[in-house]
Amino acid sequence: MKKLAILIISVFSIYSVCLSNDNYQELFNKANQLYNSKNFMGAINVYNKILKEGYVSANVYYNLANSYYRNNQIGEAILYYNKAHKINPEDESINLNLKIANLKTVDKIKELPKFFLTKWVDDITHNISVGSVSFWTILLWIVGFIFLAIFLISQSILIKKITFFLSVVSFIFAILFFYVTIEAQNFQNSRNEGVILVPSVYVKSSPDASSLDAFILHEGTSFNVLDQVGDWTKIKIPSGNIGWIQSNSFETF
Amino acid sequence: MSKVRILILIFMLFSVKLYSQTFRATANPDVVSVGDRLTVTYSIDADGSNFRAPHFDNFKVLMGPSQSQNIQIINGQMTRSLSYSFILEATKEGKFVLPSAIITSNGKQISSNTVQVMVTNPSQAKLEQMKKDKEQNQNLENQAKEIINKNLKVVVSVDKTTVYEGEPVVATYKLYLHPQLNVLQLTPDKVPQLNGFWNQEIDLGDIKYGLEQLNGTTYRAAVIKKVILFPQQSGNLTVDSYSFNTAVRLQLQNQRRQRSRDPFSNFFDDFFNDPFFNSSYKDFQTVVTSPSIQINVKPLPKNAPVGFTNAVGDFTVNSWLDKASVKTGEAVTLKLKISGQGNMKLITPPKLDLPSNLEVYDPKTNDNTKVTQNNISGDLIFEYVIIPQTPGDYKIPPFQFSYFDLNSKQYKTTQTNELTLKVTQGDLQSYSGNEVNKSDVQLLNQDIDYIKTDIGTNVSQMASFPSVLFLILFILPIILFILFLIWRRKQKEYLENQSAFRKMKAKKLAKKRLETSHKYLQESNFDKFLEELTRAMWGFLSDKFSIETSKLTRENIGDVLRSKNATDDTINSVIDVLDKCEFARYAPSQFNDNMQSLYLTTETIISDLEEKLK
Repeated sequence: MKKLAILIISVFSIYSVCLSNDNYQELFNKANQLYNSKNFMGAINVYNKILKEGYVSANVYYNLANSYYRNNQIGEAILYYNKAHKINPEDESINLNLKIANLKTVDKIKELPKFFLTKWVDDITHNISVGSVSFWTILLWIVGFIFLAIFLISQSILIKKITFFLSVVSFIFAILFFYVTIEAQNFQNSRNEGVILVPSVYVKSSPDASSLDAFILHEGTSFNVLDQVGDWTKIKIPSGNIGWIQSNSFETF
Repeated sequence: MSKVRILILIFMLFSVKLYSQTFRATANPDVVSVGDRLTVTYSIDADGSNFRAPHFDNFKVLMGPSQSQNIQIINGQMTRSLSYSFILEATKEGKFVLPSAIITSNGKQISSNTVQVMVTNPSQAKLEQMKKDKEQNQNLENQAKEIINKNLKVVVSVDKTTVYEGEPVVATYKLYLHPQLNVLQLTPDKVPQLNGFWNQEIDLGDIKYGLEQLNGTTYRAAVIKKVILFPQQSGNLTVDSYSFNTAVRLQLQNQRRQRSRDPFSNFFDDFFNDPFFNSSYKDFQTVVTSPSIQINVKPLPKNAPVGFTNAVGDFTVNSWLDKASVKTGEAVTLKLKISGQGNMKLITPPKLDLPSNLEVYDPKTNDNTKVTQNNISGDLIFEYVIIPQTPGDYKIPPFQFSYFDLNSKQYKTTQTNELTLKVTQGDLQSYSGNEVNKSDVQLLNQDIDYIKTDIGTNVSQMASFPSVLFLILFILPIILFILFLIWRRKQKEYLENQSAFRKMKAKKLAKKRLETSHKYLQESNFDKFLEELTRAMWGFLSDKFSIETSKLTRENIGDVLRSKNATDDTINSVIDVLDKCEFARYAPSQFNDNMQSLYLTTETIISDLEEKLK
């Protein structure tokens, strides 16, 4: 079903231009060969070139992240795994490698417990692809209208009752799915998460180099971006601690 | 073995002369008075061993056993004798038996005889003499002590008597000797314990004597002990006394001269004078003790800063790293130097507050402190070996050191500069001991998945949500549904319009039929006339009320009309007209003259209905 939806989207998508796809695939294959011959730096360069030329896909991000991982650049690896995950949240390889890469980070931050409903919504919206959930939204939407039409036409009271109920249920679910779609899309479009790319950085208590050090973070640690003041970014780590770091020490995804 | 050989030799040589050995005890003298001495000798005229002395009750053993061996060769005959002697002092009056001793000779145990000793009471004169001697001795001792104490002094002094806890106090022990006092021996008896202080002795080197005035007398003086005391507790602490055992040789005055004077006069008066004239010397042993001093120790003020570790004095701190950048797994040394003066020996290595990724080992302490005249000064260097585990730029926070400043009587805090340490990735893989979950442990051993071979969909140019397709698919059902609703409405409207049309046309149609019927009436074609008239009536009603003609009957027309709010008169006239038409069709002859009126009535009713029932 999901694949069908993606297929439909890609067929219908008026923007999907496949003019130089062969070129990109060629570059991609070249990078993969470099990766296979353990020339990870070379592979990283080629993958980055593909991205720069404007071809962005979960798989390019994923392969790039793998190359960074093999090159012992855990911060970059986590950054690109996260980017790949945002495009394709349901890919098992991406999720597995992201998990493994996260284990290699120095900071082991204990997460604050979330409200269960928030956690559910987050778990769903962070791990479901917009394509599949929007497919279900549309399906339920159409079904709801069909039931409504039957309800209007039908003369039998029993059929009227059943179809009215079914149409209401379908609409409720369609709205729910629509909300999930929007949330998932917001998550996937958002760039309010960051990952540390320098070996270590002192997180300050205010956006000022002379202010007190709040805590220290190491390469690969992910956090939420809250605010930005000039060269300083306010961040929040999963344990709930808040501080300011200089914007050149991390990258958002 | 050798003994056996010797014995064999003896037997071979003097086989003729063979007698049993005798082991004898003698006491000399055997009559003594209490307090006198006697010698007891056990002797054997042969070789012996394993001498076992008896226990002498009622006597005090002053000396012994002393062994003496005697070999005599007379006319080629050798006699050997062995003797053990004791010097005893009689302590009690009475008749006593000195028990026998045992010795082993030639493999045989031999006991000596016992000796009787008579101990008598001393005579009165002797006792008096003894008492007098004793008294005199005592006097002599006392006076000697007095003289010694006057001329040999140990003095203790401190530089302060009221101090703060931890503030150094210098205690000096000084020895004063009269230059002409003949000191034979001077040994420490009781060294000061100095409880409650942490003390540091000042090395004085060789003791040097100098001349010094004390209370108007010139002495040879020397500092014999100098110690810096750091009080460890508040309250009254005692700087203990220092005692010496001393032996001094004093010159006694001539007995005669002494007697000619007052027996208790200062017979030591001029003990230094005239050593060659009528003088004798006597050695006296005594203990010379210095006084002790109380020191009032005040506690430090209460408002001690955090991290104060009882350092009192004046200090500065400094820290540096031996390398500014290292690789992970390599050691770097952080040196922390505390310099100044005060109770430095009591400073323990401080604990460093470092990021957890820097592994710190127990520090090594280099003590470069020196003992000065009244304090301890110099520097202490603590060396901390740090092994960074993960790369990064680390800041080593400033180390703060608090102390109590004695000059300003206040707490002061100094601190080091912040240090930075750059750690780059080393070749050695480091494993930080962070805890991991069980599932994580399994994952740790797992390698990442292999790269993907297909490039995947390009999302950079793909319209993000809501995509066009989504919008189309979202709006399409709404449009379709709206179309469905419109269609349904049109359908309904059509049906409704049809009836309205008929209604509108009802009168017209009826008029047409009436005209047709009127034409038949003029032609006197009554059949056709009536047929047309009936049709005009029924058609009008049917059109007017949107009821099909087939469904209208004479029976239900009343109800239909009533439902359209027609009055009973109207209903009756309608039914009357319909009845008349019906009747006339079956019996036209009776109706010939009434045809015209029937036509008019019908026309009136239709226009009436048209008007009344809109």
